[in-house]
Amino acid sequence: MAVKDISERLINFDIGEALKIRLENGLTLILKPISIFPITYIRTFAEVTSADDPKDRSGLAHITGSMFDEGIKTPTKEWDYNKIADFVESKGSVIQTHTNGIAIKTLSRYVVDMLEICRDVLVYSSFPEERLQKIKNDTITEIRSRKDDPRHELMNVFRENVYYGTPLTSPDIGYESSVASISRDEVIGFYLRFYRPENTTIVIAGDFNQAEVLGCIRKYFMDWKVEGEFHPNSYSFVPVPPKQLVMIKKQTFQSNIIFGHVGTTRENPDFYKLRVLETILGRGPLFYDRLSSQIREKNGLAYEVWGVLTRDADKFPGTVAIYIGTENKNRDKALQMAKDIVADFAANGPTLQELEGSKEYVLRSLFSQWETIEGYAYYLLNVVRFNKQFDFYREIARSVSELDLETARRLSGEYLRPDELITVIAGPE
Amino acid sequence: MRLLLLAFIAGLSGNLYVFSTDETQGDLERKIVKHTLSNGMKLVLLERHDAPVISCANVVHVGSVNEEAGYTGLAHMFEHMAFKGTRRIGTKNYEEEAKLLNKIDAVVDQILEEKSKGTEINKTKLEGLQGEFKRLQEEADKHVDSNEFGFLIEKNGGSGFNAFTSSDFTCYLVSMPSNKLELFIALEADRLLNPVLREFYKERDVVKEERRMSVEDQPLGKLVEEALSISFKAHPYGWPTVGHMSDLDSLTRSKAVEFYKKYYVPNNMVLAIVGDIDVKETIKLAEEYFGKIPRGSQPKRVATVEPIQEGERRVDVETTAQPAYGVVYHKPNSFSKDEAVFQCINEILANGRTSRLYKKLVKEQKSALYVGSMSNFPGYEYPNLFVVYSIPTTGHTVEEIEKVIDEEIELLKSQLVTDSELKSAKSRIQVNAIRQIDSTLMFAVQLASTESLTGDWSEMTKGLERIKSVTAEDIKRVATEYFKKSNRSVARLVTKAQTN
Repeated sequence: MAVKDISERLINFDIGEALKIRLENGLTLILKPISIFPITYIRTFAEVTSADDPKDRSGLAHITGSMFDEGIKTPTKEWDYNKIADFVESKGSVIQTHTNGIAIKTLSRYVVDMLEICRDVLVYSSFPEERLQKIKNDTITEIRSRKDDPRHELMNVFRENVYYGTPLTSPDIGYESSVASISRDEVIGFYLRFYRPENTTIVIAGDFNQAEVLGCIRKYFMDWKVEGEFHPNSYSFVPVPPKQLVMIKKQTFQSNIIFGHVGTTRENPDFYKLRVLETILGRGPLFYDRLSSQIREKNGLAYEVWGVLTRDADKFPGTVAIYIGTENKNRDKALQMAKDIVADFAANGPTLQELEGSKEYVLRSLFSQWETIEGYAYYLLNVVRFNKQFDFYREIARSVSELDLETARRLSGEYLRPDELITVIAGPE
Repeated sequence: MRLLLLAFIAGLSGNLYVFSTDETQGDLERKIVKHTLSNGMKLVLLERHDAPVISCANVVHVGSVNEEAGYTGLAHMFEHMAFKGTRRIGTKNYEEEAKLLNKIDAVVDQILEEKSKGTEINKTKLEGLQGEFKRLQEEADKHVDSNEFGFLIEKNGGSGFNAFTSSDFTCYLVSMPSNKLELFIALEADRLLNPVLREFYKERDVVKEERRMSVEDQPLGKLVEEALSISFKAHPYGWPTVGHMSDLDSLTRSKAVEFYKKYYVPNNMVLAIVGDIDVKETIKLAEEYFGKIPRGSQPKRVATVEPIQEGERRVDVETTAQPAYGVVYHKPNSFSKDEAVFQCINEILANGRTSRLYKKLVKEQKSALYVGSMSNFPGYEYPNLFVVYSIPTTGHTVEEIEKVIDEEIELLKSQLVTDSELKSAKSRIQVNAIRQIDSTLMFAVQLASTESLTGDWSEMTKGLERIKSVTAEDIKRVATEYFKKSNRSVARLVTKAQTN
């Protein structure tokens, strides 16, 4: 009954006014006015990931994204990084760079100024050589720093092994050697190839005047054109069978353990059903998923333990991953306990009670994504990226509420494959 | 609790002042209702009918600062236990369970007594007691309905059900559908009135894993712990909120119950609810459920005063990790007249990409990957620390970083900051304040914590007013008064090779 109620609430929910436009140059715009706080959030998103890094240039997408606000040269102004930062912060705004674009959060009264700076960094970045060296050096320091955190290293090695033989094997940030060899020409070439209007979406959510913002967008972005046609990369994602067990020797007080295998994409029609299943297995609230309740609550073996079926799933396949951080002396016990839970879940799936509770939780959590303006922005961005309508939540509500026990059990066995698990352990030998 | 703890403390430390814009400040002050129940528990309520949701934050004015030596980590431990249920929730048979819990307490006391004998320990006796402890715990577990409390919250549409412990206070938070207001109040009152600290020793193991993860295997976690430890030789701000490992081993259920009775009294709590409520109805329900909890003795403030520091203190943490640098200066608490000045210094010195240290270290010299600062570390209520921290880039050293930070701090003492720097800093403080409260749950947390610590939630807005009046001369005066070498401690993460 509860699932039905909440599903109906979602189906009857109205997300309100939102606008999607595609400009003549191929740029996609999404506008979502929300008047909760006098703030506006602007996010530009190009379809590019570290999987697009050329061979031996792992980290190029990351470096290119990091360079956006390091200098601009427009037909009317040439600003260095200092002037960009001074301008943005003098308006009390914040700009962040990402591999796939930029994000700006601003008081709504400065939204026009920030749209102009958004255009400048996205279209007229000058990628100064001196700043590239600085960004590369920072990135190398960060790569080294991450090695100080056993969990970072664990995740990197897991990724390398799970995605072995595919373009997703390298860490987003790259390796010291690959980052050191990236040149300015390569950054500019990468930028021109991927950061172009027909491969970009801009989403603006917050307290703004829609007509004014639309006018600004047309004025600032209408003339953005990049020569040639855009051809996205196409990849084969057939991983080569990797090692089954990898040990990272670390003198730590805790052993960090992860195991799993390649998962599925977000485009999979079963995606939200898998969210229901992973909530039962290892990402449920308040530690009553199977992994947490057994390993943490009943046995006190870990502070952090989780298991998911859709980790990092996007247009590329994500991973099935189970993580445990446990005292070294409990390593074997915790690992065996987790593997037993996974094997049982794959073989038998959930109980009816677990299934209904999880469906309810997943449906309810759809509401919570709209608590902030960023939440709205990312929801709308993703429905557009995956060619869905703004009311995609209704489709999710139907898909989740219709999930029956038989299907759930079939999906558990289909997407969770204990015989393909790769295990990585970081800790003392 | 739990995963939110560190992120939240990072977000809260530094700026207790939150609010938006001048034009809406008056509206807000008119709409917020403060009410004190007959037993002294305070309510701060704000009606907002944008969505059928209520965001609730219950702040108990107790943190790690209230712990005793030898029992560090108890405030945080109790926060974990507050999710374990009550006499009615989380149990299949409370009467039987209670008997077993009492027996467990008795055995634990005997184990601790035996362990305290040092070289005189009777190993056979100890092993027997430990076996008995294990057996009784397994018996007690049979009566536990694990996570029932959280399950009830979730089942009724709750989200974000969580908690965190800071040096000064403990906060329990959740969002619920607005038609579940009475249920929320009833459940929250029950867990305050009738908590049962079941599964205590298993949860203690979980907390020990939390410590291993966040401190012992994290070089930066170790650095923070060392910096606090050398800065406060008397005041409990020097203790880690998660607790020392050996103290965690000594925590007992009976000690936690003692702690609860002393601090979890209604007159030491503030509940803030923001959302789709009717204020009068909410007060009525609160009186009906929370009003049953008897008023307790008002917990005393910490009497220990940190002696004036009379010389620089330094610590190097040797590690194989990347180096890092931190310097901390003693300063007054966050309610002092000069706090607004420290907030402006924070912005001008190291917060944001136009700050002086960011420009110098990160942009110009390229010697730092990151530099930042914060006021009010590790807490707000008692005299605390102003912190500047940085991570050098590859090929650069903590010595280079320290030199530049020292030079910039000296400049604050010798020259007035420019008008444009000060104006920009004030503007950024205002925007940061808005960003911190762009969800109603965070707004409820800010209301409850400000009311709890200051006795007046409107300090949120008054703090911003004080920032408007900060002058360049104020900054020079405060920097000169507090940023003295004798008043500081330096903590460095250095690679082993560097010190050998």
